[in-house]
Amino acid sequence: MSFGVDGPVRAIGRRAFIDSDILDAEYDRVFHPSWQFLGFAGEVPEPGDYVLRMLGRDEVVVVRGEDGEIRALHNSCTHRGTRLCRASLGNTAHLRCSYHGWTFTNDGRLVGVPALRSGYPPDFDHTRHGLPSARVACRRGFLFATWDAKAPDLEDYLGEIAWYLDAILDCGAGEWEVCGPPQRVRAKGNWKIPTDNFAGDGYHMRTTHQIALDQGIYGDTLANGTRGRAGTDLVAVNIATPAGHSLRAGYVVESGRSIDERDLTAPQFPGYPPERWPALTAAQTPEQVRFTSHCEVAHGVVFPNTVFLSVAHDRAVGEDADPLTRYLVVRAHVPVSARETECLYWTLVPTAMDREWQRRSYRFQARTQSAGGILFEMDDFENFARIDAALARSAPGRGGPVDLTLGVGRSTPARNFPGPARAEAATLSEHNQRAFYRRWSTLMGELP
Amino acid sequence: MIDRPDPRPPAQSTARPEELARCPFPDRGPRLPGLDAEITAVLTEESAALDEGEHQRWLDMLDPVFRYEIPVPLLREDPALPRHSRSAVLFEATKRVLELKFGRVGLVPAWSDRPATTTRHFLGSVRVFDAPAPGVVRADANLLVTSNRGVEHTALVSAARRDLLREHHGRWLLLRRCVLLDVEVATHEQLSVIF
Repeated sequence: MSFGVDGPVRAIGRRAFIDSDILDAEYDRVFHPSWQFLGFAGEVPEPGDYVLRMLGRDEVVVVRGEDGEIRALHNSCTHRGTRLCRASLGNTAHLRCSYHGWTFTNDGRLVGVPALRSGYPPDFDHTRHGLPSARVACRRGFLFATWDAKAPDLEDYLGEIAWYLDAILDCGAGEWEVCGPPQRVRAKGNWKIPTDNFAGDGYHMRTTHQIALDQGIYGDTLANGTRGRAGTDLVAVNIATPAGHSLRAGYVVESGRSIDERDLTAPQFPGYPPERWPALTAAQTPEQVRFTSHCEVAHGVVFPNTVFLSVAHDRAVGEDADPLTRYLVVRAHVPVSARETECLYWTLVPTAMDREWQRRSYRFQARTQSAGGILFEMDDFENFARIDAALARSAPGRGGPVDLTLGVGRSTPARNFPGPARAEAATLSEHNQRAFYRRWSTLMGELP
Repeated sequence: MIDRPDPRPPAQSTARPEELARCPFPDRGPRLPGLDAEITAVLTEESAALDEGEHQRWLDMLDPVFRYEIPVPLLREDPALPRHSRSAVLFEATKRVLELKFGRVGLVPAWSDRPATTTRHFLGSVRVFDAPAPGVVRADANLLVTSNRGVEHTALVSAARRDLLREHHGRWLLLRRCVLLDVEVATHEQLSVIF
């Protein structure tokens, strides 16, 4: 099977989404050399606080040591391999194995071995039996880790996409807070299916979410609170980097106008209260404002399996009096198997907003795009499951590869777009999905 | 923030019923065994309305300020700590959100509602307690739900359910429902259930 490494990736073989040998290769070739998102530093605020997360094939204890440093320790005793932490979150100074009692500090050192002096050879070196610890980097509270000692620093790994992530965060005029433990759900379908959806799929909105649009849950209210969208268009820009990261930003503009023709003398931030717009403008650089103003939705991928979504949803999901409200959700799509994915969702709220706004932002996320979002997310899960079911019921080669040509040759460079990396103006395009699979293909190479 | 509790104070004994839909879920008051049979009958009718697809009949059993929530389950080391988050939810809804959900059923592009899912609610161990507002009771129950939609969607979910019911013109309306899932990480089929 060719993954298209010799040219532009315009199709992906179907078995990339269902075969377990592909996932095995992905763990080594895609996940291992990458920085993967683990969660937020705010989840482990005190020494000893820990959460369990997956880092490629390995379960790790993400724990803040007594020294304040956050580490990702392999959750397996170095004696017989027993799972050390059984709970998903907690606080502990030591990790003690339930089998023979080997005990590790929360920085991974082996400090307790029953019968060490009487039973082990004199040359037993406990310092060689500490818990394997991954490289961890914390950026604005986002925790990333990699097992690869040769991976570039996180900042280099993120490259151009960091500018856009910073702009989304800076638009909140200050720090952000994580709303509680993440929502988690197991969904049918390969991890790449929901991930490529987030990379840049504006194409599914009118079909998958037709009812959500008809019911006025999304795409109905303007930034200033006006109900109805007559005389406006949603136009999008797609940004993808060679490292496989991507972002798609959708802007509300007057019908027939381009993004370049927004009135930037009066920036608008849909989903934030209009009275806050001057303060939000002041908190950003002029270039950031040119990216964030009039932007109703921004979503994308931090390669390989982290996605984000900042979106203003309509009051129809809440009470009639609720204004258009934005939420920011970060998700990890963790493979359970080649055909099942655990999705973890963290919602972030700006600390500069009042408590009532924060609560409403979280509620809007919970009602629409949470693990149990019956008005929006369930229709996406439905499609992911339908893809999985059909691919699993297909003979090899039947139906041809998955097509990725939407927008090829039809987009134009976005003029005067402020951020780094090439920005393509095209509301409907698989530009970003092609970049995602191009990077994936480069790492995968030919199958073993 | 890691599982920060709701900073709003718990309801006082003189609370208005509407406040009970918004404040932290009230603790159990004194046991009211004399109401067990009556409330069980109400909840049985309500579950049947869901299972039989009588959505308007079910919505009519909800108070206008009804609040529905499924807290995030937490697998913790210390058994003394709560097994569900005090702040994070897998899902949360008002009556309006549920009206939108059931308003989808007759619409052709309601992809996740067509074909329809068959559910069976099995309700047990209903116990009624007083609640800190006049005319309101709390009903705790065990719940088992089966959900079926073709060969690849066969789900079983067990949960504890905490309900507040309010007496209104001689009938009981659901004021609030909190669903405490037993499973730590639910599947999307399990979460598609209206409990």
